[in-house]
Amino acid sequence: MASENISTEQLAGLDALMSPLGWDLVAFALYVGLACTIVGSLLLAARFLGHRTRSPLKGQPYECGVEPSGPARPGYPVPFYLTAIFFVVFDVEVAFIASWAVAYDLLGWQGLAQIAFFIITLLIALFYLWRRGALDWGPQRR
Amino acid sequence: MNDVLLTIILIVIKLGLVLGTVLSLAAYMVLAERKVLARMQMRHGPNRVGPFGLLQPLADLIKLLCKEDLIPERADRWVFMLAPAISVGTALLAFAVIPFGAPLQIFGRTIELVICDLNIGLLYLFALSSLAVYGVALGGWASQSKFALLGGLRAMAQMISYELALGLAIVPVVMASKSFSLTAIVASQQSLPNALRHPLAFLIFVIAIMAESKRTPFDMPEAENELVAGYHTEYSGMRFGMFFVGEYVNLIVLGSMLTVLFLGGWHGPFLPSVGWFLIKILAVAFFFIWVRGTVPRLRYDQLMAFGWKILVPLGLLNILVTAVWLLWRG
Amino acid sequence: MSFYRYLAEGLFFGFIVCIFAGAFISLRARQLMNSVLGLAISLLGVAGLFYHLGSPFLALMELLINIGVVCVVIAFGIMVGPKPDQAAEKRPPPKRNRMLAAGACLAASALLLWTVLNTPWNPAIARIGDFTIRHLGESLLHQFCLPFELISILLLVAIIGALIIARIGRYGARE
Repeated sequence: MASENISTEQLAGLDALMSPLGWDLVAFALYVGLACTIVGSLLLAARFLGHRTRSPLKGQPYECGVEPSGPARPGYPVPFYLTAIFFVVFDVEVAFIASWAVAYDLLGWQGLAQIAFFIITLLIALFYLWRRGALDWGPQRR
Repeated sequence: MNDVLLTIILIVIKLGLVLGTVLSLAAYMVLAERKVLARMQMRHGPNRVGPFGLLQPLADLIKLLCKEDLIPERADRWVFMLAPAISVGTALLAFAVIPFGAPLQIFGRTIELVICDLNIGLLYLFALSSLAVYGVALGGWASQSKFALLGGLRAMAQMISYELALGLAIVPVVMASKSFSLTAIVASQQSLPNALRHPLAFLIFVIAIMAESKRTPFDMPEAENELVAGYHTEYSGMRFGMFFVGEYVNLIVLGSMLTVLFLGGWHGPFLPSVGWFLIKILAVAFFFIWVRGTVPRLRYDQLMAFGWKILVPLGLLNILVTAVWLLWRG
Repeated sequence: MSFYRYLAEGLFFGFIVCIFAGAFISLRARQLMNSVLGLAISLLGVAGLFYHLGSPFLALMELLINIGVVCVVIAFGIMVGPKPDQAAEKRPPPKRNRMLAAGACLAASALLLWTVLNTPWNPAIARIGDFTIRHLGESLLHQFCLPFELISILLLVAIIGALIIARIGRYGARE
């Protein structure tokens, strides 16, 4: 590894960048560069290779051949947005559970009790949503 | 300096091989899917271009490249043009942390068969899969068309719901290997693949990645008989092709994820490790195609209910039970 | 070998430029969705800064939670809602709103500045100890046990709040 030749003083500017990964970081940077080049050239090819014509009919959004009617964004049902909100909550939860999971054996039974409290609180939240019907998408039961 | 140069050359070769393999595999996955589906429906599938239709992907590529690049009048031009790139880019970048073989010895040096052995590779994959939502969402939004927008919304809601189940299913794997590093996870499965150790998590994970890849039976976002083509209704030419490529690269990435996390990665008897890895990915891909040829599409409310009312609680309980079991066993 | 030094500093300023470019896009955008994209770009720069500070873990969490979740939710909100009235958007906002916004911004920057000035900044090299993710997970449940459990309560309250705002179930009729 070439990174071992670097003195401490030089490392100070670079510590975090190189030390945990070393050459892997170079490989990663190259990979990102290469992938971006491929994607970029595809985009450019899409722009310049095909022929283009303009006509007012072509510019219309596709609605099965009939003339587009009404606004393109009429506003959609709330459950979509609610799903997103629940996702925030539960995804944060997953992040915390994952941080516990790497160290579960160090934390032992005490850690398990803590995470169990955490998980059960959110299970209660989930069942609350369920009972309130926030997870129902179909026609509502009356 | 010579040493540094050699290292860089080796890295570049490795990158070229990986990208080349992934992209051509994606191209042939399209052909394979059409062929296998056709056989399942008592048809022949594409067989005109080249022997057994083997040149079909090339013909498709040329056709897509030369098609007209339509941009709807009222579309948000920049976002519309860049959205497909996000979808391909995130899928390609995900491959950077996937270990695809045992370390190799060449020129007296060890070459790790992974591009970047990130110690938090799992989180990286997870983060990228959450970024993949953007390609779909922006594509649907920028088109300013009802079908595209509704398709985009459905896709987003579905992807985020099942991403949750995905995350929950990964936790037992993390507990088994005590690490987020994918190489460590593969190493921990030398004797027994995680699929046998954590069968429930495996099941949840398989269902979740099927939904994440938006394929039948979870292809609500592009349900063609109600939404035309969903979020890419307004796309044409290579931009449409990029969504397509992104979808198939993503299929390979998800297959590799399944392989690395649950099927023992590149471990296997007799064959070289890279061979095992490829076989496992292809088996997963075949399974996906098989499911597509067999199972009908779910209804949207069933889909969301299944994710939130079954997979998420089950995943949470599974974590608790696994933790108790692992701690009790000591 | 000061090349590495330049590389590191170059990356640092790259991330800073990313943050400011994102903020600029976000402010100047004519459409709401582009503002969200600007925010996402800005947060990408922040994630880069976390990485530069030596914590890839935090960088990825930033990517995962802030870009992958929070921005997606905002984008969701924009997509679900009907198209805003163009004429209303062109009208300059009332003076009171401007004052409030300026006040909020000033308060936030004052708080940040105060934190920056009052934090003892160790050189990065001093901090690299046996810092691993396992260590992080352990300290999360040992030292920061109470905040950790409070988070779950907070999330519970957030869900109930979301339901009340959306007026679902008992709280009102749904469309």
